[in-house]
Amino acid sequence: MLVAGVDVGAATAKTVILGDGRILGHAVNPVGYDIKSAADETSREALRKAGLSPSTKNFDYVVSTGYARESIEFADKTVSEIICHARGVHYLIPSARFIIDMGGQDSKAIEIGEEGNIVDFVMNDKCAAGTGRFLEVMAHILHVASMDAMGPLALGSKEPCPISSTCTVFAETEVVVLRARGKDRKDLIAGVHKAVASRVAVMAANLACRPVAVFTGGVAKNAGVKKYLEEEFKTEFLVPEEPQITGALGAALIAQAQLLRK
Amino acid sequence: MGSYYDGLFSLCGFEHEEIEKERPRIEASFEKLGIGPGDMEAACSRVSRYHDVSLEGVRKLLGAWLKELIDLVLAREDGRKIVYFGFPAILGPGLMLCASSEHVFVSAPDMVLDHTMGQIFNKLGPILEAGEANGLPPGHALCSLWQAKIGGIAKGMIPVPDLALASSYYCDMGSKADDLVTALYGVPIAYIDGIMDSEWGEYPGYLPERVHYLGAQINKAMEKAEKVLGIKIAPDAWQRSRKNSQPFRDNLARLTEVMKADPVPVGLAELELLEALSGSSTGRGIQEGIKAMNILIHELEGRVEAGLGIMEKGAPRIMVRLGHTSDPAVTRLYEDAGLAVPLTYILASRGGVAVKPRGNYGTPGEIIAEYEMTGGYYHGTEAQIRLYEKAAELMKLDGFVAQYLYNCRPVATISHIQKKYLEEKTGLPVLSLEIDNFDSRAYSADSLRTKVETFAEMLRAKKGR
Amino acid sequence: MNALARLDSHLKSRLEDLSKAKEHGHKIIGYAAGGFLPEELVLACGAIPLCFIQAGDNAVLRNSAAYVCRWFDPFWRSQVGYLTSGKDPYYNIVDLIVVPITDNHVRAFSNAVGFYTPEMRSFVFGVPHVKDKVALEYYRKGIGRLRKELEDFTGAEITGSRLKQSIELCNRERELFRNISLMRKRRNVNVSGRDFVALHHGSFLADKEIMIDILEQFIKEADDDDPLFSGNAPRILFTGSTLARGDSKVMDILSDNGGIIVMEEFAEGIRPYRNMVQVEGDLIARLAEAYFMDRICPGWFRPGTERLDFLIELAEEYRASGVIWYQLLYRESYKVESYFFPGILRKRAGIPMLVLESEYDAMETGPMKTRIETFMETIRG
Repeated sequence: MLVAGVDVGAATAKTVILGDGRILGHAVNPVGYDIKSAADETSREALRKAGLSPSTKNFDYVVSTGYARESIEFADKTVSEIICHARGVHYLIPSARFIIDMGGQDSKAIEIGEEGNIVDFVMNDKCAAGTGRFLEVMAHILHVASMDAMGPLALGSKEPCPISSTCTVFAETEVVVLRARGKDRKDLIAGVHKAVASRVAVMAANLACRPVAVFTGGVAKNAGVKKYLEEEFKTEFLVPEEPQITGALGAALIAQAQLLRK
Repeated sequence: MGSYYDGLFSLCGFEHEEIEKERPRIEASFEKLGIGPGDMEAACSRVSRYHDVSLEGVRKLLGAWLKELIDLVLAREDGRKIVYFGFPAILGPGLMLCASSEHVFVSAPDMVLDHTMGQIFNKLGPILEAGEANGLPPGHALCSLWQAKIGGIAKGMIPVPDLALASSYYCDMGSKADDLVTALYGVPIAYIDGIMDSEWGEYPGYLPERVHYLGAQINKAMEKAEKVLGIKIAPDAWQRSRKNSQPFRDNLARLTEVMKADPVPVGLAELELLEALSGSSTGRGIQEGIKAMNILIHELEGRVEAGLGIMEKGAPRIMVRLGHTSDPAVTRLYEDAGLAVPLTYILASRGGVAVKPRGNYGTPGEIIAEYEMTGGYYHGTEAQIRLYEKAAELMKLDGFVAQYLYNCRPVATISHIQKKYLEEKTGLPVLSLEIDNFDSRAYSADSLRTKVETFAEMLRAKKGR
Repeated sequence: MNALARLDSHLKSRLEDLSKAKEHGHKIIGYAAGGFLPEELVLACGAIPLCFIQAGDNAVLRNSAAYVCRWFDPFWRSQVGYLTSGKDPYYNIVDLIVVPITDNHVRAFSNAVGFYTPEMRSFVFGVPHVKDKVALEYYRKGIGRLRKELEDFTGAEITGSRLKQSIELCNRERELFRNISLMRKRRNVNVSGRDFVALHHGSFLADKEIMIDILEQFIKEADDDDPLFSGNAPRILFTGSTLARGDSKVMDILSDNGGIIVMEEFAEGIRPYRNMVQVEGDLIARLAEAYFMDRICPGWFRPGTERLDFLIELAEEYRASGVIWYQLLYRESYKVESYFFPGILRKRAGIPMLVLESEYDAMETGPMKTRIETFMETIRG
């Protein structure tokens, strides 16, 4: 029995392959303009990594998720990414009760129950201020190679520079101005990370953040955001080894369940 | 000899003779609206895709909206005195004006444009843009109903009215946008002012002077309307207008009964067509709407009796505030995700759920004001949330989609409170959903889908399905 | 010590003074901005009025997002932020919160008070949006209910003589503000907008008698001083919905550019001072007349023409060479008026208007500066 979960988000496509309940392979690729080929390519890569023939026809069942889930032609079923994240995290960390997932354009906070069921959730509205996109914009103007590379730099700051703007576009200007005023780069970078964490904390203020808390999504690779999330929520966040694939993993688990039900 | 639009009109419940009779008016109004043969295929497929046109009542309802559109567009040519009001409407004054003179046309043009140019023709975008260019720019969370109204006037699609009845009892935006219409087109305004100063914990009680105040303002607006329009309000106008619209109210109560069935017999998009009509038209639209409603409810009772519905039996049941006035794809979102919607706030407030008025008032203005008070609109945030709470038991709900309209301040006051309150009081899950129910350019079905689907999954899991 | 320094030092110890007053059994009555609460009623029962006028801090605004959606005016969202933070010294010190409800932004705040802080005693009353006999009666009944609430709460009866006394006290404060504002009609102005606004903001928190003393001293000092500005500086009429304590960026940029504000018209942040309250007959009725009927009402009024006409009058009286219209994001009444008023102003007063908008974001200053500089250039010709 070979099933796959395919998660196509704003920035990356992720595929996880399960065979008889075990993770056989996974892949993560950036999404270009052509969403379908990104999903296809990522799935074939995952198959190759699993040592299988790289054709999506080999799958017995595929669940797609992520904002482009409807466009994945080889999927048998689509499921929203929040459900998939919850399922994937529950599989990896059964004691998890709270998830912050920060992706390219969305951020979500999810409260989960003992069975991995969703108790409550919130997701950002029309605002990129608490998302990976915000960090990418900032990495660019602060001349850091990538969003991930900013994290360690942020950890070196003793006095994060406050970034007050609520809007990504305004915040960009704000950082440019602060840079021009000669503020220390690492303090600025730390400020940016703190701002992201605080936006998400406000969004999730009405949910119960209970341990074990887990941080997933592309942004979870960033140690700076993790640190400030922990300060905001006053709790430790676990980050899975591959924080980007929990959605795809959840989708694959749902695919497996669907197949067993048949 | 038929014409290019015959197919669409018969899909929208027009009889052959009706089309023949209406032909010159259809053509004259379509010319102003910029609708031509090229629009028909898309309109027909849109109507069939999003509306349950297997029901005659639904086809007739769509037809009622089209008739209202034609009358609106041609009101000036018809030599009528034109009065516009805002939504949510206090309908009573409009009905009284209509009952006093057949030369008066009273309507909510924004709602008419939304339901026709939006829902049927998918051509609302340019109208909204014209509104944005004429004083109501984007990016400021201004009301998209007003953008449609001012845009429609600016584009010459709908006439400049003779009088604006400003529903300022509820909304600050509406009365100010009426000031804009005065500044742009010199239209006189009759303000219907009200004061929403209820205290938290006051509902279902309310200060009698609050009803008296709104009532007096309605009566004053009527006097102004008499002057501006050069008519005399008939002494029995109130009784007659009540009598004319009574079937609609009776039917809303009947509809609430039908919607208690599992599976639900009809979708939110159809409820929306009907509820919105009841708050938007005072003329032919509402009269045709009453006929359509009779047919529809009869059909729905048949479905319920046969155990038929549009969803699976046992599908999670939710209440929402309202469907989308201009984009049925957004309205359909809930059912697409497997959620049944037996009740909306509008239906609850106009139909069986609201508290009964005490009936202590004598003047038409006060009677109308008390009705608005007990329906929750005029009372405020708490009353509105309590209607949801009350509906949970009545409609056997499994959860709420607590919409708040980002660009409608009177509704946005409910934003965070409703979720917290309803979760505490009913123990049911609540999805807080920021939305624009009049314009889907920024809040499209695609942008809302993830939230709604996740919530649906949550409810299904809770129900053990 | 000059008047403003005195005000400053009084305000620095004000919270401490208020705590002491509380210990002595005085109640502190906090109220929402807008100028529709007659402080006379509070003073007449031996309580102390305090208006919530602080805003401009972006962090407070951001934290309010857990309680109210972002589509309300940032001033009122800030009030929700202070209220729910549990850390604001002004909200923490008051014994009763009174909210005169005007538009839906204020209603959102009043909901927050009722729902999020049920342990806090509160009282609301509504302000009509049109002026007629029924509206006056409604407002009169509202402050009548407030009177009863205050009497119940403080246990002190508001007698005719005490009310008369407090009206006279408040009239004196209004009169002094009016006198200062009249000084600003002079060609060589010796009162800056920033000082005038600081006095207003101070008066919302200060002890009434000390405030009157400070205002008297201020007038004396201003009269003795040399003019602050030459006759050629562009004279600006500054208007909008809200000018919070802590939101001085427009005034700062303007003065950096050599402009002078000769008059402010704001509903929230400037105390209505033009009308005196009469002290004969039914004093509650007199208060209603002065605070509602004779007042030039804010932008949410229906129609808005009374205020717009008044702005034109002010522009002429104070020989303004331009109007700066400062609105807060999402306050729809002001936004809509800002579209059609410039044409009317140009036609009737022959002067230009600059529209500025804020959401208390630090980064607005840059673009705002560019706009103000350009506007000043156009005025100077």
